[in-house]
Amino acid sequence: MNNISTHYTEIAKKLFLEERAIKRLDGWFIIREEALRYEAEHQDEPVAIRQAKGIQSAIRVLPLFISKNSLFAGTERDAFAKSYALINPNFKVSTFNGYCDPTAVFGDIEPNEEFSVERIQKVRAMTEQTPYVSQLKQVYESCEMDTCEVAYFVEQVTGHLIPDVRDILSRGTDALKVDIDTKMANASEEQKINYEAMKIALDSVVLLASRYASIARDMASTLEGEERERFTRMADTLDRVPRLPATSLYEAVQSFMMIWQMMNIEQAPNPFAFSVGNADRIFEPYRQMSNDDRDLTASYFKHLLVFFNVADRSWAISQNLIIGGRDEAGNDLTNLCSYALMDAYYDMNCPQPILSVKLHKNTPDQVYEEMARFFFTPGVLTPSLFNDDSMFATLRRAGVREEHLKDYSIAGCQEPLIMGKDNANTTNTWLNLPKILELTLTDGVSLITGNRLKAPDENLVGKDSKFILENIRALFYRNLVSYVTSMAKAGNGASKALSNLRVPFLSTMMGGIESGYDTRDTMHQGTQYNGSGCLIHGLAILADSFVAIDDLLAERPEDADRLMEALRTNFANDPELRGYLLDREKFGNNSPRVDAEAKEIASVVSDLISNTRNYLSNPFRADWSSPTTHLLYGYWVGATPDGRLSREMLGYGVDPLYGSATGGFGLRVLSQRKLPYLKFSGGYASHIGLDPKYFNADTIEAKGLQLRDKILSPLFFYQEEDAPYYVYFNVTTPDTLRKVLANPKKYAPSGVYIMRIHGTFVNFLDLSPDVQEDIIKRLDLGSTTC
Amino acid sequence: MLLFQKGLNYSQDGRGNRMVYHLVGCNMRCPWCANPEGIKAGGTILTKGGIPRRSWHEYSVDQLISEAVSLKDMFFDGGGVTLTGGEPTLWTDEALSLLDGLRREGIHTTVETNATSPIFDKFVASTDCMIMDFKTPNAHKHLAYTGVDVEIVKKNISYALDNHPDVLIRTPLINGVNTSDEDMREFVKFYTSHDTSHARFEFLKYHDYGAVKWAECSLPYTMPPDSFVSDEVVEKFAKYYIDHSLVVIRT
Ligand code: SF4
Repeated sequence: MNNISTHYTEIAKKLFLEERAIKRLDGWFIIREEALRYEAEHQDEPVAIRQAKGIQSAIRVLPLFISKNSLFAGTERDAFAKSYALINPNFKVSTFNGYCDPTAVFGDIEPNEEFSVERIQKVRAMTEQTPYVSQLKQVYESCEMDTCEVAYFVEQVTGHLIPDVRDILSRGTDALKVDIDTKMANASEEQKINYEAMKIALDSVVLLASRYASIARDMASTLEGEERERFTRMADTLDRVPRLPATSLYEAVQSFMMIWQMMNIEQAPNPFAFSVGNADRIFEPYRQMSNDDRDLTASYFKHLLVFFNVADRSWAISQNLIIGGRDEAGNDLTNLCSYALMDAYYDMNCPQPILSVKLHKNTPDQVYEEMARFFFTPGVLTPSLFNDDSMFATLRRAGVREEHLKDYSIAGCQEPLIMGKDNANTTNTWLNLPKILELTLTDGVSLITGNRLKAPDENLVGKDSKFILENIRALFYRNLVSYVTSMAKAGNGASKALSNLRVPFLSTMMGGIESGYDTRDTMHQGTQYNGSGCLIHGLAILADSFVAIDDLLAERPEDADRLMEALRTNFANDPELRGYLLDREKFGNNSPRVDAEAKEIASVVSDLISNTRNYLSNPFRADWSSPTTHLLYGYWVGATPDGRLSREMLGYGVDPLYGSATGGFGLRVLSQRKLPYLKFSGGYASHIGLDPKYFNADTIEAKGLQLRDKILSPLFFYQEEDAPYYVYFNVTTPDTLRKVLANPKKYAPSGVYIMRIHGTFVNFLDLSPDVQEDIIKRLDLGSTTC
Repeated sequence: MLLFQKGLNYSQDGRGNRMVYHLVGCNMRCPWCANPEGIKAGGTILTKGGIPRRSWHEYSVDQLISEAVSLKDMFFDGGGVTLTGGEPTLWTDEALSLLDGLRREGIHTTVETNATSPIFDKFVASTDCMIMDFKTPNAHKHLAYTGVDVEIVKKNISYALDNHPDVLIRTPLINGVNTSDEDMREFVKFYTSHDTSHARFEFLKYHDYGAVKWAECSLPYTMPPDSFVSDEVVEKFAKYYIDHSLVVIRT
């Protein structure tokens, strides 16, 4: 590395440490307070314009700061509050209450002299009065019986999109405003208001940049040498971008940060899971303009990575950055920025943003060789892996146009969206299949609380347990249809409530300039593609349970009542029956019967979801993933006919239930290959724990090729279509993690030991004991080593 | 066929990545057995955490062949299928037709056996790699510990050494059973009376991982606590074997 790259690396590392020393996050509150103040005083203005100006007013007053260790100006810190729903250190599975209160965030600010209780309370009260919050409250009230023990859950989806920043980077906001003026000539009144809001939002990002420019200039005037040069360059750059086109990699990264900060401010607080998209392809043209070498490029990216980390714990905000991949003709799209990004990730080992790598059957060896260092260095982040060959087929089937396929990237953990063209409301609805199975077996009475959660089925009057078991599939699917119908209604209600909060800046990068509509508009489609997500939980438990019921009816039909009683009592008095149920064939062992059952369930449920329509009459998207919610939702599910005990976790994503696949990676892969991936249009989750000793090559690079040959080829590339398209690994053993917990000073002297949980990186040491235990359990080497 | 376990592992029971089928039933009664749930013909009920669990699942020969065929792309580094147990050769007809079927599909086959089969020659002819467990050449001790006469074992191992191109002989080293200098000399004397150019030898240090399973099978675990062996003993054996031109491997 030359001197300047080394220096930039050093200050990036200092900057990261500074970030982790930050304890308070008040920016989001100032933004909301000022925006609401402005809006209250300008009730006469159209909503979209009033809100855009409210944000602009907030940007005017928001305290800004640039560290002496900065190479670029900007932060996303001010968009986030000091909690994150699932993966914060206080997380307990028992705390889920089935309600996503958008005003709960005000509890995150610890009052002090500047932020008094009254001040916080005033903004909270104003927020409670907004149409957004009151409509959302109504939605939750309407589905309380279904969500209180999580038959399903709904939420309003902020963030979770992939803006296409390329237009602003390459043409600048001035050019976009000219585009808007042209479109306005033939626009409707409603569109004109939207366009006006977009122009205000574009001016706001320029305002943000100009405020940073003057801070940088002031700093430069007090500094000497390299520091003076650095801040002068920063100020000069911020005078230009994002208003004008970026003409070098440095300018592009700076422009990107301003865009990203503005986009987050617009959605404060807590816009989780915005994703960068195909980062290497976004930045490579600018790198070529300035002809920066790999080291310098990597050093810029190190600062870019620090930018995504917020405060002391670098929470899992689920921002995703993706590299590699192919085009529609099969050409590999890896470039020098792909490798420089890997360098930056490896050297920084920051928990944010998630690194994802797109693979395909012609991915160059170099990608595997260079990627290997992540997998074979303990405590270092590991990328999520995507199989473009299969993903393209799935997206094609879902209606994505051929020329847009290569632009898919990942929002959040594993949800595929087309960059800048797709509003997928990815986490809008959540479905808990095992809870619905429970309520089918009991005809609506919770095994957890004994409460009646559903009116009795009149067709079951006078029917015995055997009848219910014999007809379990038909009864289950009938209930499922009813729950999905209610879930979709509630989910659409949440989306409509959210549409009260306009996002004109984001909309300029989501096709809004073309359509004239806000990305969140629920009456007009503002983006080329639109859908709503449904995260489906409990595949393995359902398949295993159906098969266990069949066996029981075939081999010991006289025990139908006994099974029902055992479920009611959590098997407390019937170990023999539990043993019998546990001994039935389980998903994940290449058992043709149970695998066929899992395939059937996955297929029928995916079809049901895809045939359900959202607020714009677009399909919901089947997403078989469970971002830690397999713990939460399992906590609300009683004992199940597969022998699982009450409140135990559900299976993760499409994986076998923990402990029930015992034949190693090969058999598990054979089972998982049979699932209908073409129908998983919203994504799915799968995790494989790998024992490092399985990779015995002499060099790290050669181990990367072994990972391809031994694991990824049989998993991804055995056929082109309808094959698995996503996986994440943790290459470690339960033993190692227990050692890390027992002696963190020895195994993680920096205080950071990165693991993957769901699609995101986390600092293992920052997690709550519940989540730490989940990670250890799911390494489940019996099902995952080779 | 009844199996009490199946799964892939790497280079532990034969070379490369292998599907290992554990067949139920064994004619020996070794008190150190790590898989006691695989001894009783017809299977065993284990009690795990108070829950009675069945040790076995049933599969047809065709099911296993088709499973192995679908795993072909994972049999890398020279892998394939290993039949072990229990004692796989007790399933005479089924095991032989499974081996033949696998070979017809071009799948490398290994049998891990205690070398007591009366039709051993048939297994030798049907298997690409023979792994034989040889506890002790001492007739008295062999009978006392395993319940089986050593002569048939010696005869079969001799046959394999004389007729099979790829032989691995494994010995569990257990203090108080087979680790004395005299035991060591007896082993080597027996081997060196044959052509061992295509044979490899491996020592498995005694462990008591099976003790939990013995309890789960409601059977007493009778191995004395001083049955463990030190690395020095293993090294002593290895050196002595190597000095007598025997190839010792470590997996
Ligand atoms: S021969 Fe092997 S399987 Fe049979 S009892 Fe002895 S150790 Fe166990």
